[in-house]
Amino acid sequence: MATSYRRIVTKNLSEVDVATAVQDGPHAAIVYRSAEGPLKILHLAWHRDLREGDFASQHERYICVRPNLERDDSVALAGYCRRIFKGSARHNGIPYNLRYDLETRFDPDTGDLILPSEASGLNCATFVVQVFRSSGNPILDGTSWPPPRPKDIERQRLLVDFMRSNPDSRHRNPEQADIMSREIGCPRIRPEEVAGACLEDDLPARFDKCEANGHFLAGLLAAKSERLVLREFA
Amino acid sequence: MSTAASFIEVSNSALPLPRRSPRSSGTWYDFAVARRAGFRVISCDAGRADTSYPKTNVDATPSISRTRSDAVRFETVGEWNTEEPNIVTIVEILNLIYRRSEENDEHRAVDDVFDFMDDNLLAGNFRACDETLRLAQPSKLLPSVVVSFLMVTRRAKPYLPSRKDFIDAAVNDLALKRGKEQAEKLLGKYR
Repeated sequence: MATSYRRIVTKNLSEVDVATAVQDGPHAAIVYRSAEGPLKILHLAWHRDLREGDFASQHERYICVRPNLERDDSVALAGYCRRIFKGSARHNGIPYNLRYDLETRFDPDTGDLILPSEASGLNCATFVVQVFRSSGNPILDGTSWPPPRPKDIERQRLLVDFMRSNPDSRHRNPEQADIMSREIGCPRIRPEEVAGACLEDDLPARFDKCEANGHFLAGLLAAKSERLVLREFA
Repeated sequence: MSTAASFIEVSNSALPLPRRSPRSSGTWYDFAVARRAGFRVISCDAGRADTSYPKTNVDATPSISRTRSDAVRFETVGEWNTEEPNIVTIVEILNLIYRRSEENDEHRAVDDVFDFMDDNLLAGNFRACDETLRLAQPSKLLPSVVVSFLMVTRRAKPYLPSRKDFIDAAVNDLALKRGKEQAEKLLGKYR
């Protein structure tokens, strides 16, 4: 079992792939096939803001990685993602947080988010992790994550500030910022590390593999972004 | 529907909720299930000095469970769904799923499974879900559709006694088509 770079897919996407991108910051999402055929992207964009959209119009920004799953698992998982998005209309959305909580999960029966009393929500990366985990197909072992690296704390502070003083009032939530600020310093699963986990043949992947693969994917993303920018100015 | 329990105690045990018992115990998951089945929480005595989740919080988030996994008590009023499952509906939906499987329309078949089972689980119709699993013939289903049945019922398995027979039949059927090892690899993790 090893790291398999062939899992990076640029076309002929499968039933379920994990996507990562750099937008305002690093981001993670799930790409899956809709019942009608076209690919959809599901991601936790921000506080109580779960989005599903057409992937075709956004694919250039993302690098997609195909997790080592049986095709039948992937087809069922695509249905599970569709169900989660449908189910999201039933509740008040998913709170945004910093901490990865092992007890938080999606109810496989209903697609509802189950938050234990100590949990405060999910973020774009842990959303992807929990969808796979709740379906019975974990992609990474969150217990293997170390304390935050210096850049993690920097990013966590930035996210808290953004939640507290977002210029767009729809995305500003000082109460949630207070909750998040208490989580600064917790282990952080980076979005590119979630996609990096899917480069591994052997799932769930441990931190050391995810980190190395995450660095690799971040490099690819930087090169890809540069090309996109150059093309825009050409 | 028949009026049932007026009190539920949720403790750290993993016992499923008896259908007509006025008192029962289980995990926070049982509590979530009970709420879906029509119980309305009217007060919450969250034990172990956890006072952060008064009843207003619990009721304010109807589909997000915020409970401790240990020693939480809820007084409830409501109804527990004890209706006989509608066999005709179950057979109809299974026939639709078989037909879609036969036509290789697997995404729609998968959606039918998630939608039907989800709606019933939300309504507390565990008997309907169990009956569906009892009547379903894995040999007429695409493997991805079998996986969907198992994925959607993974957490509710204490309430679905027929699930074990369904998975055994599915493994046996898939073993004939792909070999025992492959069948166990695909389906074993959902046991």
